Formats: sequence, C-alpha cells, structure tokens
Amino acid sequence: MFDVVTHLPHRGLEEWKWSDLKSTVEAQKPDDLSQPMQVDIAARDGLTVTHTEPTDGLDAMTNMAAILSSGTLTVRVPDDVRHEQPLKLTDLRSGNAQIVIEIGKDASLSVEEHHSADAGFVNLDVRYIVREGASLTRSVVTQDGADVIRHVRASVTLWADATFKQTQLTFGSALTRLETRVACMGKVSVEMSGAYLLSDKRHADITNYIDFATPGSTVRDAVAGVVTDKARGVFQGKFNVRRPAQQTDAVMRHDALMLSDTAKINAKPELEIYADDVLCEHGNTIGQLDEQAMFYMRQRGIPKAQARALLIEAFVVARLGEDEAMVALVRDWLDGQS
Amino acid sequence: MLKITNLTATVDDGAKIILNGLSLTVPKGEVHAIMGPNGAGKSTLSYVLTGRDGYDVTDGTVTLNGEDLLEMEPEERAAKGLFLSFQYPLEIPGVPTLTFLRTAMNAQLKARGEGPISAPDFMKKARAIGKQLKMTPEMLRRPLNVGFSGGEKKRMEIFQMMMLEPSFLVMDETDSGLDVDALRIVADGVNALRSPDRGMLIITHYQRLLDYIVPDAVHVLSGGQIKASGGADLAKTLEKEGYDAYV
Repeated sequence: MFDVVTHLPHRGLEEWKWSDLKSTVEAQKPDDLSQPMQVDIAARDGLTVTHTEPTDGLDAMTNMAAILSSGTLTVRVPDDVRHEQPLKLTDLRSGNAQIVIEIGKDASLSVEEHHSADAGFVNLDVRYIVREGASLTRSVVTQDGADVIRHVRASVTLWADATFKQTQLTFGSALTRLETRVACMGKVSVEMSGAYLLSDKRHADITNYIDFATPGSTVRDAVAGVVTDKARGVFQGKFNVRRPAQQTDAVMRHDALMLSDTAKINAKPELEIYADDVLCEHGNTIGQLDEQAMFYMRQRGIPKAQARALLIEAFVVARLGEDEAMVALVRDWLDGQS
Repeated sequence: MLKITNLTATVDDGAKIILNGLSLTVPKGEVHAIMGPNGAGKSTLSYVLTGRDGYDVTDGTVTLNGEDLLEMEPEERAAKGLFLSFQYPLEIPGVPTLTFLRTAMNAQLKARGEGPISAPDFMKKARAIGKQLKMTPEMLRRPLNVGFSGGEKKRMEIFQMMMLEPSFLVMDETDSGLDVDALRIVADGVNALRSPDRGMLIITHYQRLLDYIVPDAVHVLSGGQIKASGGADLAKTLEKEGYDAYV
C-alpha cells in the first residue's frame, strides 16, 4: 500500500498555499483516506449509467480519485434530451470517487450535489462534458461536520453554444475545497455564483479556474464570503484567456465580510490574458458590516442581532442569487450565529 | 415631552466637547426648531438623542415622556417612539423598502408588547401614504434608498415616519437637497403628523423649511449650547442677520 499522505497537495504548492490539505489530513487522520466511495446513480429514461475506465492526470487529487475509487461511473444524457428533474448526487460522505457526466448535443441536465457528512475524508472528482448547444445547471451545497475534509473538483468542458450555470454554498469544515475548472472550447455562456459562510475554526476554499480557448464567450463569476470567530475563507479565481479567445467578456468578483478580528480571508483573483480584444475584469473587496447602516436600521427599531442578520443576508443573496432553498440555509446559519 | 437637561457630550474619547451643557424642553404637541451655524453641534444632538456609537455623554439627562433615554439602546428608543429623519439617509442594498419597514414596524410593536401588523393592513397603509407622498410603487419595491436621488431619500424618510407614527420626531436638515416641490410634499407630510400627542424637533441651518412647517419655538444652538430662544420670528431674524451675534 503506497502512502497516500505523502502525495497530498500542501501549502508549498502555489494553488494550495492557503488550503494545506496534507497537514489537515495529518492532523485529522481520517481512516477513509484511501477508501473508495459508494456511489449509486440510478439510470432512468434519457439517462444511462455505465462503469468506465478511470481518467487520471491533473494532479494527486484526480489520481487518487481515479486509483482509489471503485471504478468510474459515467452518466450520459443522449442528444436532444432535456431533463426537467434534476440528477441528485446527495450525501457523498466518505472516500474517493470519480464520476463523468456527459450531456449530449442540445440536451440539458441539472445536477444537485448536496452533501453533509459527520466526519471523514471525501475526494470527489466530477468531470462534466457539455456538448454543442447543451446546458448544465449545477448546484452544490455542503453542510459538513467540523472534522470533515472535503475536496470536490468539477472539471467542466463546454463545447460551442453550451451554457453552464453554477451555484455553490458551503459552510466549511476542517477543510473544504470546492474547485471548478472550466474549459471554454467554443462560444459559451457561464454564470457562476458561490458563497461561503464560516464560523468557529472552519475553513472553506472556493477556487474557480476558467480557461478560454476560443472567441466570444461570456462569463460571470461572483463569490461572497462571510467569516467570523477564527474561521478562514479562501477565494482563488483565474481567467486564462488564450490568444484566439478574442471578444471574451468575463467578470470575476469576490466580496467578503469579516465579522471578527480573528477570522481570516485570503483572496487571489488573477487574469492572464493573451488576446488583445477582450473585456475582462476582476474585483475583490473585504470589509466589515456597515456600522452606519446598522445604526440606521436600529434607529428604526430593528434590534441589533436582527439588523446584522438582515444586512448579511442581503450581502450574500445579492451575490449568490435568490434560490429559495439556499436562502433558507443562509438564514438558518445566521439564526445560529445570534 | 422631550426634556434635555445640561447635556454634555464628547467625541474622540473625550478629546472634543461638542455639546456643552445643553438644556431644552419640547412639550407634547409642539414643534421646536433648532438653528445654528455649521459646527454648532446640531447633528451631534440628533445622534446623541438617538444613541449612535461614538459619542460619550459625560453629563446631563435626556428623558422622553419621563423615561431616561440615555440608558436605552437605539432600537429601544425607537420603540419608545423616537424617530430621526437622517440628514443623509443610508442605502441598504438587497433589502426591499417594504420588507425593511415591516420588519422595523413589527420589531417596535413586539418591543411594546403588541402583536404584528398583518400583511394586508401593512400594504394598505403603505399604499395610502405612498400615494399621499407621490411615491411610485416602483420606489417602494426597490432596495431601501438604492439609486434614489437626495430628494427621493428625504421623501422616503417622511414615508417611514408616517408609517411608523412615532411620538417624537427629530428632523436633521430635512430640507437639504430638496427642490421647492419636494419641500412642499415633505412639509405637507410633516404637518399632517402634527398632533397634540406628538412633539417635533426640527434641526436646520436655513429658515426656508420653517416657512412651510411653522414652529412654536426657535432656538439658536451655538458652541454646544442654546444661546437664545424665541418665536417663529427669530428664524427670520437669523436668516437676515446671520449667526454672528451668537458665535
């Protein structure tokens, strides 16, 4: 048995400098580090599920998912099939897995990845292939216990005229990293939003890399963060705009609220642009709750805790979007803080 | 009745005295105006009355209808009926105006031991008052004050005031940023709220607003103290002669 721990990414690597997976694993010693994850996805009309050869490659995490899982599950939606009901990948809570989800031409699928685990290690590698004219809607929620280590990497390949919409909400854990790598292989449309709300000593990392290979794509990427106590939030965002990717229109934002002096936020928005006719921007703000707005609300009779919750909720929802189920989870979290 | 006695307040941890033994009584049913030069302590007075952080009261008392205001949190003062119309109303992105106001209204009702207002009753009242203030339904649907002009924000303050029906109003430079038409709408709203049970303190630099809201008394605030008091005519004298005599 080879030693998995020595291969884990650590803070010596640029992409992992704020989320030291290796030392977190060393501290937590999860016993399911090398275990396969049990994944059951039922086939249904317009959706086939097969076992396929694993794909390794990108780095240790992908290799772990490929080698340590009990085989790669491949889900296929045939061309032109538009699913109304979402595919639910829920409660994937222990071990390693690799899943491939391929959406055929002009087909559509929404996928709900909603997870909560009490303890343990999760390494999930999901590869989405979205064919010409197809659309993928992905919603990710993690509500894990404080000791969980969760790494989720979605590699999304978008072909011409594909659309991709993603909403992510995480409450962190010992270490949670939600990584999304998007390859734009044609003129595509991408809308990504995310939020992390962290208390105690929780850690969450939202890392979004978007690679533009061809002209004319539109991308909106917005992440909101709220940290309190001794929590740490990490945002890494990168647009890599290759020379042929002219007329790229891409905006990346990360805005975070620090509610305590002992919380931490690390953010690295990056643009790497080789095309000369593009509209790309990034913005990053880290601040505190607006004391003037707080006073204004209290002067109208709204108690301090409620004013604070209203302001934070508004801040998050403005960036995350108004998905009712997610807004309810944000409210629950806020209720737990006051 | 609002009763301020020998009020002394400092900022910057006591380094600067802004109010210096200010005494003033506004009986129920009366409208008093406070006028004064820039830096006289006008806005500080409104913030000290409403309990904003950053001001230290080092001496004196403030009571509203016999209750000690200075001991209360800002939201408790609001629930007792104290309302401040802000000189610069805040924008609250993401919080729709009516959601904000209903939350405020129900919080005040709860603090007073009363049940919440029903959604239909609230909407009925909001529509009626909105109409009176010539506000569009769109303005009420938007996040609070976001994208509003200065005049619209002031009108929104009056809207909130009429919705919440406070027992004592403090209006801080409500006329600034208003054109004549907006001023008239605002003044009509304020005048409609004049009642034997309600006191008002109008803080202003210029006499203009007092043409529309005629006060029962005018006080000159300078150097953190009331330097002179008189009837409505005092405002006109000040407009003509300035504040030089009181600085």
